[in-house]
Amino acid sequence: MDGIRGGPRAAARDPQLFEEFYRRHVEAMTSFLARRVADPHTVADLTAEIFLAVLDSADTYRPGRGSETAWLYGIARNVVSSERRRVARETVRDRRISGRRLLEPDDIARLEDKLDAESPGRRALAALERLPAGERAVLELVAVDQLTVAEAAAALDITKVAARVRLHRARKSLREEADPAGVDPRGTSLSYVIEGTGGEA
Amino acid sequence: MKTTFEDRLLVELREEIERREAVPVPAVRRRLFTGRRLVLAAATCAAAGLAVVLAPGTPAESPAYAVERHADGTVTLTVKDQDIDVEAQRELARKLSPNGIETDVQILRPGYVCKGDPVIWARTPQGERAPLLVLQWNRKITLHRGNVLVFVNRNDRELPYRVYVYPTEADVEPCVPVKPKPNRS
Repeated sequence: MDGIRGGPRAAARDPQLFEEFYRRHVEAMTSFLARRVADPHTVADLTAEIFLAVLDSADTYRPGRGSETAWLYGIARNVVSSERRRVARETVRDRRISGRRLLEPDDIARLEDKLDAESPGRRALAALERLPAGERAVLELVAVDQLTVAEAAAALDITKVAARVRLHRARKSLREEADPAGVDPRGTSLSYVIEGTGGEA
Repeated sequence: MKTTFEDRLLVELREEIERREAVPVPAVRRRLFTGRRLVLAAATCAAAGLAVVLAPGTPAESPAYAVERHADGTVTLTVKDQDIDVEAQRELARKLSPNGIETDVQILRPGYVCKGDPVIWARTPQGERAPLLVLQWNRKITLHRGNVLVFVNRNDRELPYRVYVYPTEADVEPCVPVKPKPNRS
């Protein structure tokens, strides 16, 4: 069973329920971020942003539209996109909880280990940059983040059929692009993405 | 027992929940933009030779907008003049920041619009087809803590053609830049 009692809406109002929700997902969220950003301080800041966004938007969760996990990944994607826009414009964000302020040397070392462990995922994501945004989004969630097609569809607010079509197209594009000799000149893990273990609804 | 970053973050988040429960914040669940104003601005007016058509505004010496802060923490933004440039948008961002309202100023490359933006095709006096953008603004906007105000600007940086308010950062829809194409001649 995916969700907690009362769902995110109840969790956002009850510290005890929120702790259950948080403990269930925080590891997956820091891994998600470690595949997308390259330093522990940003991982810490964005982890805080994701869970603050959960508090802000808990009322928007609708069980009929997908699982709690899918909803959370949708939030995480938006937080990462927002951060990229912010960095691109070099704007300053007024962070309500500064994650990096909570870091101690042991945490930084641990997050750096996680960043190392997720580096194949980051290379795989970099290899997807030339795909159309919609196809890339599905492939990222399914092949890299290991969501099911149904969860990815819910996270992206599209139908399962649309997600399957995009996934198929993305994998086809990457197969056509992959080096026939099996040598990837960019040192990326294309095969990791093309053959991703996720993908079943 | 030694705590981790995740433990310390949880403590802060729990405190945040308690703060919120102590002072309830009105729920904002939908995009605050409610209608499209049928005022057109040329998407590529310099190249197309088209004039930007604006709604009647206040005199030039008046400020482009007014910010009114309320006791419940909300802010009312009243737009007096649509001709608010990027610098003025950034200044507004600084004013709204203490209220926990984030402002995102986006600038598109020349000739691009966000995917899904309504575009109307017109002809220039020279007979060339040119895209016109529908200005998407509300005159009066109520902002709550946590809201994100997004300005989307053309490359001339003089006039945002779209201003949306999203309830939270998690709701912000990314702008996918596309070149508008006419359906048929």
